[in-house]
Amino acid sequence: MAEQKKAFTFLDPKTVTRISNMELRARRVVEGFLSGLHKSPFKGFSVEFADYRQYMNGDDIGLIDWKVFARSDKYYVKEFEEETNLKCFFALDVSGSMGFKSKKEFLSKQEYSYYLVSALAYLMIRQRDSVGLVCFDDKIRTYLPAKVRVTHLRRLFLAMEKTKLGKDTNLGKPIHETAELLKRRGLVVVVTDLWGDIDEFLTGIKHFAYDGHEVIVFHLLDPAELTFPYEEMSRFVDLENGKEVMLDPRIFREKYIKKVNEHLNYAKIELAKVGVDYKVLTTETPVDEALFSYLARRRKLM
Amino acid sequence: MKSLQFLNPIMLAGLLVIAVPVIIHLISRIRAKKINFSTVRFLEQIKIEASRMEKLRNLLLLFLRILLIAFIAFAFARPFFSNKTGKWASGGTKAAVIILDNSYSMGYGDYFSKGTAEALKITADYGPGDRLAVISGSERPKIFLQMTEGGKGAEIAVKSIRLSNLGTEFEPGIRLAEEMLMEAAVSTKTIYLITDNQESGWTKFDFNQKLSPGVLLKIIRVNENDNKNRNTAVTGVDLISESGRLSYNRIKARITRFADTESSVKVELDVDGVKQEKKLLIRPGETKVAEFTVDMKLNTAHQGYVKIEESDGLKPDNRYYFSVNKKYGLPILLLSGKAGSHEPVYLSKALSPMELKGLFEIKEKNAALFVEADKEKTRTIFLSGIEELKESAVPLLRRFVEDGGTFVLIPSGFTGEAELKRYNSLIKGLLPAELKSVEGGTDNWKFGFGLSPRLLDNPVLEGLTDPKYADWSSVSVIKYIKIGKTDGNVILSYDNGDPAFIEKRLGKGRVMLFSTSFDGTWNNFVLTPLFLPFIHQLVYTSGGEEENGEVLYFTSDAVSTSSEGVIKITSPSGREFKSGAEAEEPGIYSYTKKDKSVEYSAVNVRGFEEGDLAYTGTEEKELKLKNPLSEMKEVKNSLEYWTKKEEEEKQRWWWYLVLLALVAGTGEMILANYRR
Repeated sequence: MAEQKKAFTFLDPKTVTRISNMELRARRVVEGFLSGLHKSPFKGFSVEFADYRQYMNGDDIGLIDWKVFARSDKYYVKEFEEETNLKCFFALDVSGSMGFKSKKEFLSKQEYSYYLVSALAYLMIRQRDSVGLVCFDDKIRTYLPAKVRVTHLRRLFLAMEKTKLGKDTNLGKPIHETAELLKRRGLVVVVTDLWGDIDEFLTGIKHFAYDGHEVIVFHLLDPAELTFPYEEMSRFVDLENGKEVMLDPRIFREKYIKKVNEHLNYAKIELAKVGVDYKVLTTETPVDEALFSYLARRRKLM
Repeated sequence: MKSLQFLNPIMLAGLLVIAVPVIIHLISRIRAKKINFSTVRFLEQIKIEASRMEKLRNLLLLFLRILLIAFIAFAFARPFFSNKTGKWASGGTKAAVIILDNSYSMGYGDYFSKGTAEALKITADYGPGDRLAVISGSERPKIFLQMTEGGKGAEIAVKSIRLSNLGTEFEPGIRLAEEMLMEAAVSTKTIYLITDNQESGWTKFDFNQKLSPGVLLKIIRVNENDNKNRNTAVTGVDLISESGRLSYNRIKARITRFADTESSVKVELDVDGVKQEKKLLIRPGETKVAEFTVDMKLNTAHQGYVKIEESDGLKPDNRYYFSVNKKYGLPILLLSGKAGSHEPVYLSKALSPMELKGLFEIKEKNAALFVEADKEKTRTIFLSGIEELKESAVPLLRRFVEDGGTFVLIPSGFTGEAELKRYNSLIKGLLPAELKSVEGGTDNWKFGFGLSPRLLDNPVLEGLTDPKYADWSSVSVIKYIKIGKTDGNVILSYDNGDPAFIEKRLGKGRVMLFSTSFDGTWNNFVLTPLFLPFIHQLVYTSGGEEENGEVLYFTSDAVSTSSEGVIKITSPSGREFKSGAEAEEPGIYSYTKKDKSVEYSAVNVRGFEEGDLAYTGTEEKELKLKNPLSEMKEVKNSLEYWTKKEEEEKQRWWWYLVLLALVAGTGEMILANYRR
């Protein structure tokens, strides 16, 4: 019972309420088994009319459009565009840097990502999409295949809960591996702080894109990582590899911010090139608000 | 070879402060806040990019800070260069000054030989590396051996000190010794005072001024068991004249008994070989006077002494010398007028009473014949014949006064105001006042005016102001010259207040105006008993006469002569004596003049002080003079410190170091605040 309760800690009721009216649709065509919100490449049973074709042996008699037969004396079968559910994979960065939070009142990036993924997963399940999870640092640490059942949601929460923060981020390799795992086209939501090698990450993302997946990248950052607000000589210890750099933030702040902005711009431009939906989130923005505004914006673009 | 030394080497510890920037760096590393950060990748990158300049800047900053601290530390350590190394003060060696008292009181018994033996004992204690000096210690200390390493020659120096005729005074010797020790850079400094420790030697000592820190006084008494010895001394001789400048008539000799027993003393007076004797019984501590009647005419020189004979005391103060030089007549010039005037008669009579020759040398001359040569050998000029005076003589008279002479103007034969006017213009600038008019006359006045003294303390009136003996009202003046406003001193005036006798200073000399005559016609002054002493006093005070004819010297006084033309001084033992040198030998010194004439002066020992053989303890004096600072540790090094300080102050390197520190500090400030 306690475990169950714990497993749902990331599903914030407030967030759930806020986004309950929203939906996350794939902009691309995705291949699902069930009918759902997303366009399927398969024509089948659906309410959305697609085309007429001549009746062929083996076709269901019930599909013959008798009105057309009456007019043309030919058997035509109505074809509908199939709307399917999608396989959504959350690729969650669990490298050491995700554990960073600059203020007590903030969530760490890891916690934030859990809330984010939980909310999105809930949303997906609710719209009958299947949800899978890949947690990675320099390799895949947790893999949970996509399922559509509600109980799967609980498993997903537990999987996240149990995943401990790893060490280095090696974004390229685990993403390639994840791409290999996903056979059918679907939605890949990557949540990362992108502090690894961005070029390697891009090749991984491109792999997804070529495979026909739709990719959303949530670039999760702590506000301190953007503004570097420290005021005194300090030793900065890398959460991933334990490296120390001692410097006076007052002297280096400007240069740091410039460097980070360059990094973000590069990521934005390169990801846009491969059609990836890229969204920077900072942990100071409440999850519900961030998610709501994102989903609202996305709906407008559909 | 000069080496670098420091005045305050302890300040070099300040160099340790150099470690401070490094320690601060380390501490700041330890104490720097540890912040876990997601990634230091960018921080590393920007640090590497900035590192080259930053590292250089940091190194430069560290260097400047180290320099700043080093300069300050060195400046405070006060560096200097010196040849002396390590030998500023060596604790092992010692220095001493031996003061051997050779005042004549040390001649008592075997005191002096005992003293010499004690001094020799001390010299034996001072070996190689030690420093020793020897001085004699009377009222005039003399260095017999300068501060010498190993005390070489100390023995000879001690043996060469002879007993003197000088008195005892400890202060000059001790201060001289102290000064000599100041220069010796050692830690143990002693002054050995070998003496009979006469109490009189300490009376003038300034005990408030302690010895220098680290200097110890050790008094070695040669008379340990004696507190007082017996002695009788001739402590003075007075020559008494009852006839002015003519002769000395009595001699009073003061004999003092410094003892606890009375003594009968035979006093012998010798004047020019003629002896007189007297016997005196003198009680303990008493001074008695032995009086002798003599007739020492002052027209010739005399020498003599007063001598006593005693068995138990000191010898040098048993004899007291005196000498009397020949008195020469004071030169006076009387400038008279027409033949037959009475002034010169009364004046010359007054100046040679009872036909006594030798008091004054009087020269008479008609005023018309006054020439420059006349003023050369005279001190006083009386002018009664103003009507004869030539205009050319006035500047000569003025110069005579300005050079220190006395010019006395006596009116004679003044008849009318026209004449007065002429005289006023003739000797204008020389007269103390303007002659205005002739007052009174035999026809008008039944009774004359008396004179009254106005300036009682004027030397001219000395002895002439007591109404019991000097009745100025007995003078009756019936005619006088009224004078105008004067800037001189009115010494005598008439009863009606008009000035009678005026003195005016001019240059070094003075002009005197008597406004009535000296011929017995205008007044009866010349006939009164006041006239003679008044004229004598007037001439005496005109300078050139020493009031107490005889100059008395004591041993240790610088003997010289005020008389001009002395070419040779001979000491009593017949040796030539340098004028101005300190006399050590009592007796009669003779001064030979250019004109072969000889004068004499006597030199005596200071029997009144030195003859008193009362002794005092040593410990109290030693303690009184001991500087409490001498016990402090740091004082031992104080001499070293001050010597070094002197050297350091000459070089003053610290000043430059402070300047460099300022430069380094400014550089540091600029660099520390520089941001790209």
